[in-house]
Amino acid sequence: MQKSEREAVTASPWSEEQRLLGAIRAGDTAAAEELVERTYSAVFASIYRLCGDSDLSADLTQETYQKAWAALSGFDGRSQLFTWLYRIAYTTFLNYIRRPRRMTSLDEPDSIDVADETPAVDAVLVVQEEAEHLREAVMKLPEDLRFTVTAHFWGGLPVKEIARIEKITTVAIRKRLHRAFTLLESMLDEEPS
Amino acid sequence: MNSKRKADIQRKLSLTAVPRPPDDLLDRIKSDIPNYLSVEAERARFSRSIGFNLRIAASIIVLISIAAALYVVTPTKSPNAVVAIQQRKPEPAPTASATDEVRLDIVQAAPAMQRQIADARIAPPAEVPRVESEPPARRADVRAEEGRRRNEIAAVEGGVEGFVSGGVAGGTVGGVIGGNESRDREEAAAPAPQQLAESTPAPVPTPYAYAPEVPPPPATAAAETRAMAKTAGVSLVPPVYADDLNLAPKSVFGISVDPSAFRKIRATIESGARPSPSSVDVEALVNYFAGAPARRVRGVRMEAEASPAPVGANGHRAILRLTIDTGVVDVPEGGSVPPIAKDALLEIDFNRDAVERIDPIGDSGTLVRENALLHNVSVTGLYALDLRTPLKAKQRVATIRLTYRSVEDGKKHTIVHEVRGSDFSKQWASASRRHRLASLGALWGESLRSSSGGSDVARRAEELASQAPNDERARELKEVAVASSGGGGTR
Repeated sequence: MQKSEREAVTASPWSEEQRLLGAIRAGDTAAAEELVERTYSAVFASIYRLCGDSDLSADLTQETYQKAWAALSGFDGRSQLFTWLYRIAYTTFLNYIRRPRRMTSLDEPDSIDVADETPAVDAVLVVQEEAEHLREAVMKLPEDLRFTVTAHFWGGLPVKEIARIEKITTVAIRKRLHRAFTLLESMLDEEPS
Repeated sequence: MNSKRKADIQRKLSLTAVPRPPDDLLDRIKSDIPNYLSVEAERARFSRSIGFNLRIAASIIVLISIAAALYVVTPTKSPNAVVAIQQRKPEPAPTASATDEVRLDIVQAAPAMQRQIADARIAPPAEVPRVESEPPARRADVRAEEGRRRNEIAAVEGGVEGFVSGGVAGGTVGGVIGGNESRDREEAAAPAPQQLAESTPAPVPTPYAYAPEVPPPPATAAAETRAMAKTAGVSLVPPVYADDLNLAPKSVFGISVDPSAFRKIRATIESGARPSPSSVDVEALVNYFAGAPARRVRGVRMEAEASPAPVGANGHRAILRLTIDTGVVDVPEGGSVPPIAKDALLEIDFNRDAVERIDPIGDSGTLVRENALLHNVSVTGLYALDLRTPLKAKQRVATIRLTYRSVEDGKKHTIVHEVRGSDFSKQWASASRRHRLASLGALWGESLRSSSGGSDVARRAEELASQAPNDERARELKEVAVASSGGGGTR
């Protein structure tokens, strides 16, 4: 998550967040819309980084908010609102990947010849390929490490917030991150170049 | 792990490029916001519900305790009494049937009533739930007696019409008295099954025998039976009327969504014949295979998806799909589906610099305005396109715009999808399940019309079905495509 995006989401004043939450709980639909407007692009980005598919990310983002409205009464307000939303989004994504995989064809039909005039296409492709390898490696991490890495780097949550929702110390979170980096390094080294 | 490598991984993790969210995503999420967000109200409602349930549970416990106490306190009957009941012989059948008694009443009624009764006798019998616990003769006695009692009341309170309906129905609808004229006429026209069964010279009913099997009513009696059931306040709608009660629209935006189209074609193919080209409703087939959305939709949602054609793409032939789904609501049996939007207008603007030829599949090209867009609707339209190549990734190919006025908030909403060249770059096999089924269903329909290309469609359908063995629609498509291409029952 980009720094500005992260700041926009997580650095909102506590009182402002409480005001929104209070209004939503009082049944104010406009406040709910405001919450959506503030957070949906960050939720979408978090899910996109997890799955790498724009259409799927849109669907899962929509599903995340549907679950959020249903679970609103259970939100105790101890963590930040976006942290809570991210946790729902992450669970929604996990539920999705545990479903049966989408079909792929046995042979490829003719494709449409689409050209792009954007310069340095090869370079873009290499970057995209690297990103895809990294995403696959992150997905192979053990669950606790995977959540910590994705919440911190892709969800933009600070270590303190992750520690709060995981109910462990910030030191333990940093240890997790260190272990995750070690595993990622070995997995990326194994990847064919 | 050295710090440089760690920093490299951190940099890669932090700098993953993310595309912009789709334009309609915000609207989609907002349309999902429930009307009643108030948590406090929800909690209060929940507390009330719990309290009510507890009171019911307490009442049930008290009742059971009272019953148990009565059972303990009341002296039990002697065993001899039980034996005596078991040894009682069945009573002989009455010499005069219930119908005869009813007929006597009717003869004294006005001639107009007699005509109604005669009509009722001519009308075919209605199906009723079979009663197994009581002998027909005794049941007839009881009903006739009850009917006569009600007739007497009806003659006083409800007038002549109530009198007739009470007499004829023999207790089934006899209780409905003094109603309006048309309702009573329907009741009179709908025969009482017991009366009809006994009006024929049937043998003397055997005690404790089952009521005779009554054939299902023909279609002409359906409305009368339904009216009778409705008047009596009970649900007597048998499955035979399921099609009658299906109030779903047969076309949306002028696109046929008739669900029976596929069943008819399938039946023809299974009988070994080939459907005539004019009878193949390709649009309806597309909609059958596109089906409902994978996830429950709230509000109005529009999907647009593009891909190369599943067969014979040749580098330029493509398929554009647009689907509109509306929110799902539960509709009571026999009820009508409420509208979700009004003044809905669907417009498609193709960029002629990118598209050489546009072939609407079916009649999707002649879109019409929907004055009332209903809930529980999924409609899919397809376009076969010949693209000008090479197509640029960012080049606009088409703009699809759906405008409507929401019934819920009265506001005007617009959903816009812009389809670009990059949308066509993916493989057909990478498209969504819905897109693949719809496009392949369309090609199958076209092959039935033109009698060519069926084998390619069948091959593709077999692939699809083998990749998703649990997908019912894919399996159906494979079966009919193979059969109609000569691999099955085609003659």
